[in-house]
Amino acid sequence: MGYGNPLRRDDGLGVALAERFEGTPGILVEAAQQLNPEDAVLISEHDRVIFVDASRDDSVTNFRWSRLRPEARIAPFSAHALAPDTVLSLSVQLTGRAPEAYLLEIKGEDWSLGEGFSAPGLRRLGMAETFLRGKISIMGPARPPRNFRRAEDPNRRRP
Amino acid sequence: MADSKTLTINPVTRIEGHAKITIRLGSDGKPADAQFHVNEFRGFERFCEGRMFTEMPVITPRICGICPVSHTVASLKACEDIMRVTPPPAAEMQRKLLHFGQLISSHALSFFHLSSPDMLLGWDSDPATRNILGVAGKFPELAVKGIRLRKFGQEISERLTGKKLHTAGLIPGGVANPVRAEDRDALLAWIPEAMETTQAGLKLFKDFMSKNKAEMDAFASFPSLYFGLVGPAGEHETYGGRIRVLDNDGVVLADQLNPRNYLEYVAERPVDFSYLKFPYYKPKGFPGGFYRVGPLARLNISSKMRTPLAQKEFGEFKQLNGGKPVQGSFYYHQARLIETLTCIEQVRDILSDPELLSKDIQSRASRNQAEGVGCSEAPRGTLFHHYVTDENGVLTRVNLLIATGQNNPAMNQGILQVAKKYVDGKDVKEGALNRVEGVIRCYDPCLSCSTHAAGTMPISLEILGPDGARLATFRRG
Repeated sequence: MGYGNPLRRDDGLGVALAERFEGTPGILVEAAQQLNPEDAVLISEHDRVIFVDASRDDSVTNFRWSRLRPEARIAPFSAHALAPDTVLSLSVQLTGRAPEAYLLEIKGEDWSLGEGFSAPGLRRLGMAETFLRGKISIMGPARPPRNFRRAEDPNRRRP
Repeated sequence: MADSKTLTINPVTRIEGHAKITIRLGSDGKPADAQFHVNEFRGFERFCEGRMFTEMPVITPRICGICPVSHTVASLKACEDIMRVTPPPAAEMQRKLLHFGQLISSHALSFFHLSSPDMLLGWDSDPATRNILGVAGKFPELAVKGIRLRKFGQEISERLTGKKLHTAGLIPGGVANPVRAEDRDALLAWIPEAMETTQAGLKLFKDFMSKNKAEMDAFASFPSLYFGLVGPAGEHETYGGRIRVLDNDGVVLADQLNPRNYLEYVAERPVDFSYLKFPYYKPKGFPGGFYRVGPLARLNISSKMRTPLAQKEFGEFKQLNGGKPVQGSFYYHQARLIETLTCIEQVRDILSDPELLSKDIQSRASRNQAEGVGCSEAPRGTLFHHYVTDENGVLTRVNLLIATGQNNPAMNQGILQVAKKYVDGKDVKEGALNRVEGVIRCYDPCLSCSTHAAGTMPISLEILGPDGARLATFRRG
């Protein structure tokens, strides 16, 4: 699930990477400008979800791969859009299920209006694609979605 | 002002884009002024100049991930004004379906996911759970209904254009593909559920109001003009029609104004604290001519609704202020739901019309005049697209007058009024902060097609002294 705005140059890196996987057997590709509440229901119907987004975080060198847990972060509610771990949390609340989930962030440089990527962004897009194809090939089948008791707060279970 | 302090809420939670609120405190510690700032320059107009005008219906929907169809519709109308062409009836019907689907989807997100937490969980409840997750935890059935209502709107787009977000196949002069009978039937099957959910939303709103009427009647309630499209007989209109301007006593100041001439009656005033300009109704000047747009304004200016269930709700709405315009900003939510209801009814009616399946869906023309204006009612209010082209059809000037800009002065008024009631000094209680933000949520502004890269969106509240020194900072999340 790649998201971002392709008319904001490197903000579209996530969408571009997702679209490179169109037609890959066993993978459903979704591209969106932003994550919304309905995506929580959509992901609950799948075994594994990989969110792909552009990143402004300076701690990301080229790209960063991380495992996501359901997280009720408040800050992302500042917009109509949701953060991926919040979508996971919402999936648990609404459906009682959360798929195995990952976030692939690709470091961007240019967020101005326009089409096409910055040179570093384009290079990192290729690196991230190579990484993701390799990762998917060794991941094997996803575990069935984890079942939670509906309306349970997953954060309470953590120390 | 030497004896004042400034309180800044930056950015506002649960609205689109990047913005902040500044409340200036006077020497008595009470709010003296309020400003809603937009910190991101849109720049889309300049970006579009130099392109062929026919590209605009594809480019401009990407201004926004929430209301792309509204920009497409306004853009198509501007292009068709330049081409002096009228699309065939089946194409107009298909576009109306998409337009109503957009309104349903956007209104559902605004009400069920952004604003219902205030009503279901309370203004003063813990901010950590006063959001869609909190609603999903306590009222999962309602949260799912809201999501499915939004999905219905998106499915209209997906079935008619192949995409649920950025529509494809909408071209100047018509649409690219006819509607298939199986898609029509599948969409018709949604109607009962969509109706039921919307009416559940109306019940939720009315239940809340029955317990909080005094507070909510006064919530961000202030006089203003009201502005928007109406049909030839003053009926509620969002797709076409002409402009009506109403004053606060319900007197029609102007009616059936041609949107093409909008610059004759709308002017914009730049301000130094925001990239949004302040539009106003020219004959009344500024600030007397500031007006409101969007669901509340549309219901205030309308003489009647087009569909029976919405008309019944409209009758109740009109009685809220004895037949005069409803001033309270909180009633934007009720107006939003009534509009959702009429959109569903109109979708049903269009889907039931055999003309919809006609294969006569395109009129052909090219540039026939240099200039074109398109106007439609976006979920948040009246939207104008104005294009000027050279002899080759290349855009030399683009002006987009967006709904959020037109509501900007009203949001400032509302914030100040609510702040005066709930904010006292620099120590702002959570419930007061949420009420100030709640004013903004009434207008559901969409500020920009902001970047959504991971790692952005800090939440902070700053209180600054007159010399700019930070007196206090609050953070969430």
